[in-house]
Amino acid sequence: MSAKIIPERIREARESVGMTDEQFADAIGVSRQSVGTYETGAFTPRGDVFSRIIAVTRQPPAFFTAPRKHNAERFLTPTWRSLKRMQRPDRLRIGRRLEWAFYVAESLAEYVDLPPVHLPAIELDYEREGNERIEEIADQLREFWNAGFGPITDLAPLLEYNGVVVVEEPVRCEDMDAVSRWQGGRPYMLYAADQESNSRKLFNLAHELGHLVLHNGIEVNSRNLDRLEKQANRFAGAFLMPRRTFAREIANTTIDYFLSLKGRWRVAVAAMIYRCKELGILNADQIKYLWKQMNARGIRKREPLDNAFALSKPTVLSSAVQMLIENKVKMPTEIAEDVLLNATDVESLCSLPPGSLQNKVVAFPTLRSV
Amino acid sequence: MKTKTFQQRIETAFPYDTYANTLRALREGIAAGDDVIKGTPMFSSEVGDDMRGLIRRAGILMRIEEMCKAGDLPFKCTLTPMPRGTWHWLDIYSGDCHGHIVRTSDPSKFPKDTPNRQDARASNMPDLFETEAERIVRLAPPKLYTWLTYRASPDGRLSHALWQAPSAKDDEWLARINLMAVVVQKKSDDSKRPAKVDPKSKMKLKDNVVSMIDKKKNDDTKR
Repeated sequence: MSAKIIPERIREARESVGMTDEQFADAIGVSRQSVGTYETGAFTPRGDVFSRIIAVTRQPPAFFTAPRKHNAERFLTPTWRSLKRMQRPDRLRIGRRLEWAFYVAESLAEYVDLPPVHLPAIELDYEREGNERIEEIADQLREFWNAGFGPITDLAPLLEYNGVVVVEEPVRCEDMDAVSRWQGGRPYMLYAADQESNSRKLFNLAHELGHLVLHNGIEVNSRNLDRLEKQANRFAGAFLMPRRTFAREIANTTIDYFLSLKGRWRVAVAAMIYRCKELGILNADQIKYLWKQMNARGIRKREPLDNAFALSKPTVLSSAVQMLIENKVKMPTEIAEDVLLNATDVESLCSLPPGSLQNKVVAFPTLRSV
Repeated sequence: MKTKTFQQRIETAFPYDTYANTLRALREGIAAGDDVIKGTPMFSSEVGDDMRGLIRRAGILMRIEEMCKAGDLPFKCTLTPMPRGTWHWLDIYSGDCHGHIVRTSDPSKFPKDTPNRQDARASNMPDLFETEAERIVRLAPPKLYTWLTYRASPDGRLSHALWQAPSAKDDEWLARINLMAVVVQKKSDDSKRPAKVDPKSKMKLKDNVVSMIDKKKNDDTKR
């Protein structure tokens, strides 16, 4: 008896490759209506169509037929660090990656204790409370993490150390920087490896941390989106540039001085200017003067020192995989099989070298006659 | 009761929280002065260089005054005529200190002598009625006279900035705060980067997995 195809998996696989139902229908050689019927379970694809679905989505047959060990409850809509013009298929595709990170982490967590979630319980009435409260929360988190009030120059290890699962992947979407969501009691964050500026990456991570801390349990919708984004931005500024220390260092209003601060705080000059504005460190004329200097030098979009320092890659998922393989708890191929995903996808989600979880041709051992 | 030392008085009047904005006011004043020189054709000659110090001084007085008025610097200040001549200076008051802004060639050097400056510093004398044990006559001490001394290089970079209290007669300092040095020092004390953390240090194989591995090893050894 052949295994039954799970209709929702066809949708999941389609979304994971960023295709609309129309594009998918073209790719597998059926009508758009047929795709709809497969995804709702009204009809099951024929064998040849199923083969094409496997070929197009590059997922193993088990992905479409086997139940998952770790079934997630319905996740809330993730918060996106992206431009509003980001296309829906891209949102769905990257959203699926975030969901898959959950399956991978849960599967690994059966064998490995991952860093426990260590975030303070924050009460924020996001509709009523304002910036002052967000400043307090950012300070509170620094104290909770014992991170002091100096520059935080590398955020991914700090996030992972405190239980956030962080994924760095090329997202092939220039309108999207990062995305985050609580999944199964643990915060998850995915950020674009193809973002060129490390200063911006640092800010993106802090922005998503803001969502995770401030907006846990809040469903994002078109009415609250702008407010949530502003609050996450304010949090990122407050977390990366605490007012008690950063404000004291604004001793000049030239771009060269701000660039020297960038070397120390690792945050973009533009973000520092915004921070000075929101803290009232500089007045409107001084802010205008700084923007003018930025424009005159042509560094408004791409700043010097954006990549003058390195950021660490996430290591938790890759370390867990390594522990299982080194201790012979799992074969490399089993890691991806356990989550019913293509090995290439799991390697990418775990920041592992390509091919490390795939079958390799091993030299046949010389047999010795006994 | 023993009174505060000169150093304590100057540090109370000009606390650390004010250093960044004081430095900023100096730098912005210098930049404003340099902008005038660059943007004024009649100064695009050696004459402009002759005037640079004076124009920068005007910029600095303006910025300090503006920042005090805006509340960015917690000092009281007024532009007043000097007691002698027709020039003006900025009177700065904070705590029990009173001061003016002067340019010096070096952090430890005194400014060029003028009768105005000599008169102003005349009050900076130890209290003649004070002994080690107690003050004999309880008179309110006069405000400690201070200078905010600074210098900027031709390219506009601030090379030093200090609050200093000159002694009444000799060219020696009773108290001083080197703003730039303190900012650098405090920066490294207060704003240390957090220690690097290694997420792997919080990860381990689950106990049941470790037992399973151990059991397997034992079984392999027995075979």
